[in-house]
Amino acid sequence: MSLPATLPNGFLPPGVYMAPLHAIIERFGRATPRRQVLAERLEELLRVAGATGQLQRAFLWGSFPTDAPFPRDLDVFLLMQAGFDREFQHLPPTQRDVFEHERARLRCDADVFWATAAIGIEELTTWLSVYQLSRDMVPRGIVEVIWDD
Amino acid sequence: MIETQEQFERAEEASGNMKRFLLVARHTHTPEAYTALSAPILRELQERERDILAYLSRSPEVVAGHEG
Repeated sequence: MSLPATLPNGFLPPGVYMAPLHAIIERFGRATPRRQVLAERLEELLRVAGATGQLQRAFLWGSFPTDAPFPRDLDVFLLMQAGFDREFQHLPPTQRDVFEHERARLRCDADVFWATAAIGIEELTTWLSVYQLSRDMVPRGIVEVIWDD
Repeated sequence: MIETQEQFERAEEASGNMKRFLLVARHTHTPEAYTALSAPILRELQERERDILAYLSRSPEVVAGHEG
């Protein structure tokens, strides 16, 4: 599935769209210096989360996957493998930062939400439905990252 | 901003779904992990509930222009 055109309101149409990271960066991470910075932050965030060896899925929403020239930040949900919660407290600080909200904001300009797969597919699906509606009550799409390698 | 009854109901549903997510997560994650993962969700929930309360704080007459 490729990324569709944005709607006149700047959002992707409601739905969950799968795309490789390089395609997401190409589409949303090039147009302005702010977008370039956020794209770098996103790559760093996913690289660090992936380095745990337990990152299963990643989703993006908010102002980054839109037409806005100056997105405020990144909004990311990381689904980690079941059992990651037991290893979480033993992560080195550089990795743990990604999973601690305030630290992730400082380091990656990102609101990072996460859970392990123990949450269950039903709750994950519900989560995705919640975030397909902005706080301004505008329906919008979510992007799921497909890993390039 | 919530401006219609329909938006209010959808916001309530979203808020309920977030609470249910937390209820499941607190049973399926270690306490330390739960503390970390719940922090941004609780903050978001607080903001969304504030929006709901803002809608409820206005009388129907005030929002009638939006709902009509």
